[in-house]
Amino acid sequence: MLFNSYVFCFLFLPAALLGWWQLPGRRWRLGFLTLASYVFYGWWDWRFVPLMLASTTADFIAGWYIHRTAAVARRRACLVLLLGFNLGILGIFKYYDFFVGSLDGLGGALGLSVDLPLLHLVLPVGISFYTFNSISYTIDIYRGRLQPARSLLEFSTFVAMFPHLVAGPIVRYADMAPQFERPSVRPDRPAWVLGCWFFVLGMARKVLLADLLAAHFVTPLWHQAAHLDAGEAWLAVLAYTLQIYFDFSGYSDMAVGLALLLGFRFPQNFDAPYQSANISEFWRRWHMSLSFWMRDYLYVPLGGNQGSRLRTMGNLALVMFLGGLWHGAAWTFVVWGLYHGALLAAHAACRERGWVPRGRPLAVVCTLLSVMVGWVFFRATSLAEAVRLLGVMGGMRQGEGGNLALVASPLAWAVLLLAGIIAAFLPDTWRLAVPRRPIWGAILALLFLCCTFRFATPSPFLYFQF
Amino acid sequence: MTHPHAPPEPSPQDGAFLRSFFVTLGVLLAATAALVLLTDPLGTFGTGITPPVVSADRDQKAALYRARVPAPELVVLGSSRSKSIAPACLQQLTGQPAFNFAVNGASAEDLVAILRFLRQAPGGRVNTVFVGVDPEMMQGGGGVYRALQASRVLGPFAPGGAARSRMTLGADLLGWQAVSAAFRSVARRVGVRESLPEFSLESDGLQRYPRAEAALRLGSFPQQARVVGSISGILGRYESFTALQPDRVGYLRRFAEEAKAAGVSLVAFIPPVHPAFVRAASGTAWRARTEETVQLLRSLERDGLLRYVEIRSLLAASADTSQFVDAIHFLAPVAATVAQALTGSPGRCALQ
Repeated sequence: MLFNSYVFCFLFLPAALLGWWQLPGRRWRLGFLTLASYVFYGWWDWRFVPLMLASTTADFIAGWYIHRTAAVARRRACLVLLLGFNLGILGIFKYYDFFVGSLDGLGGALGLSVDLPLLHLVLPVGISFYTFNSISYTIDIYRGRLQPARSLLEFSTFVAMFPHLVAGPIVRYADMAPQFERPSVRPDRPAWVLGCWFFVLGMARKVLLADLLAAHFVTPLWHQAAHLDAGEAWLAVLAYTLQIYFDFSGYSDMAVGLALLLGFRFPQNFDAPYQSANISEFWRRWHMSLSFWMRDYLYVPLGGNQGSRLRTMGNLALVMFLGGLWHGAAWTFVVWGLYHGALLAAHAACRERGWVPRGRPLAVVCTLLSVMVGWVFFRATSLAEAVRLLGVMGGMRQGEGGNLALVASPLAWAVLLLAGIIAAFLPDTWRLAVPRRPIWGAILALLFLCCTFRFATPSPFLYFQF
Repeated sequence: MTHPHAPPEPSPQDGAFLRSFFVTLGVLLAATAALVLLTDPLGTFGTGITPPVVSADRDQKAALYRARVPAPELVVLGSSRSKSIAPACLQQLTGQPAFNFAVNGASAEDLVAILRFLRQAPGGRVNTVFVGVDPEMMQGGGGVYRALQASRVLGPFAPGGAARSRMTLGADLLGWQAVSAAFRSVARRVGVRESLPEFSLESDGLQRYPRAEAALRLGSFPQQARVVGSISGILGRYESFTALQPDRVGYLRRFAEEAKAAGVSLVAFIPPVHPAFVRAASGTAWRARTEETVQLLRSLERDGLLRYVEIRSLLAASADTSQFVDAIHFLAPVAATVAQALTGSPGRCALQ
């Protein structure tokens, strides 16, 4: 079920809010919220509900086992077993075909026959997100920083909670546990004002900016990727740069808004990342919950920046490689991750020597351009397509051109301009003060009505595929 | 190290803000839905009190068919992409009285319903059906297409009895296509009229585009802009169209089986589109769904249920490409080329 659908906005959400706020008793309410979340998830494909249930139960049991076991070796063995279980599920569904295909390609190049079957499994929506939520829970217990969930119900609510289930933000049990312990018993007006604000603005980012950019620029231009000239290629990449930002940050804002309507608070996931002055700052402002997750559960355990410079760079490269792989099982994502690892390492080295652009505007432009180059790998269907497009963008290859006529319309250019201004100059939703005069409530309603007009064209979020 | 949002400070205006939001939203939603219901601009509900912006053509064509003398022997079915194929042209090429029963937004179940209607119509003697199959006929969720259900004449012939798709109610009432059409419908009602109608229907079911045709004669029709401007919208309809819907594939097969059982000779084709669209759509879901539709038609052909005629590349080197109202709807000269290809006639129809 998509947030940007009639069935979600006009059936599921009102029913979920009504049940959550009307039911008596914490356990009934958590049970209802969990059930509703499973319905939300199963609406897409009910066959994957048992998978999430199994993963949740295993994590819950392992959490308690680790907590109660004093022997370090047993605790570690349990943790390794559980990580293997979670990553194994992820690996089978997400990476098996990729590795087998790559192995097959490598074998072919070496004249060897690797005859492993491909599984062609459907990737369960949100599996990367809920797996990371669960992994952080178990590791935090292992580290002694977290008490395990008091009940399977509480933990199931944490994993399945529909606002963050399929595309984050990646939440941590440590943040949510106190909220589950004492959930609000009646709707809080300021939270509802903020919740409506976040939900509607997030929806507008998604359906009025990201989807229109996709329809008018991204889809038609990227389908012609082999025929674009330099100007068209830059336009295609710019449009995608804006699309992915408004799509994902829109989803995150909606998730935050929905959580607020339920009386919960989620972490911030975006902070106007295209206004960053360097790549390190970019990663502190883009998909923040993933960045902080990778820092706390990968980068720091690897030694972070405490070792030699070479070791630090190696750690950055490894973490970003895994981050790229997390996004998708394809070499384009691997190269995207490694590219960002290289950028981070280069930035660290340049900063040490004082080689940074003078003046923030220039630094912002340089950072944005380097991020845009990365998006070419992220969006391209193959490495060859990405390299070809980068060649055209860099003036090293000539493109046929003549494709602008296929996409241009005054509305499309207006949307592109508006999206560019918002991304480049305006603060993120989190930093906007909510105007609370009643007239703004009416304006927000009008904006939401405009969004509903576009629900007729189903448009999944880009990050659902990850 | 996450960043939980600080709880907002309560404000005396919070209650008024929320009331304003929810009341305005409720009123706007109700007003929009009421406007669409009252105007019924796409002929979806059968409740319209203003002129529809598309011809609510199912009932209209049924009435024209019944009034046709002599009774047609050859009928064209399909979506709006097949509505310009001239029956008079087909009659000239085949000698059989013909009728165009292609309807807007045709779904696979429309084909079943129309065929059943043709068979039971008094004096019906249809022996050949040319069906322009559009992948969009097999798009969407389960349930019978609402426009067919709303058709007073054809609705009772719909497969699946009274089952109605409830999942499209939101889109039918609040989707941009319906809402924008409702405003156009009202504008026509209150007097913002064009000198010529956009569409007109002739007694043999042929749809004409009087405004576009007049502009073409004057050389003032913005052909390039119309074709180019329509491409992204059409491709957008396919963005979430990830596979042919199994129920509708089943309806197409049932249509072919019922035609065979009734002794009706079935000729299927995919209506050609503008070459600029073909280029823009390479590698898209449109291309993929079209290929799947071709495979489906070929499998029905192997089962002896129909004859598939490949005419998608008919216009690749043709001068007729200037005769399109948008990327997928062609005008008479292209329709004549299509008719010639379908009938296999060496001569070309002289009618325009």
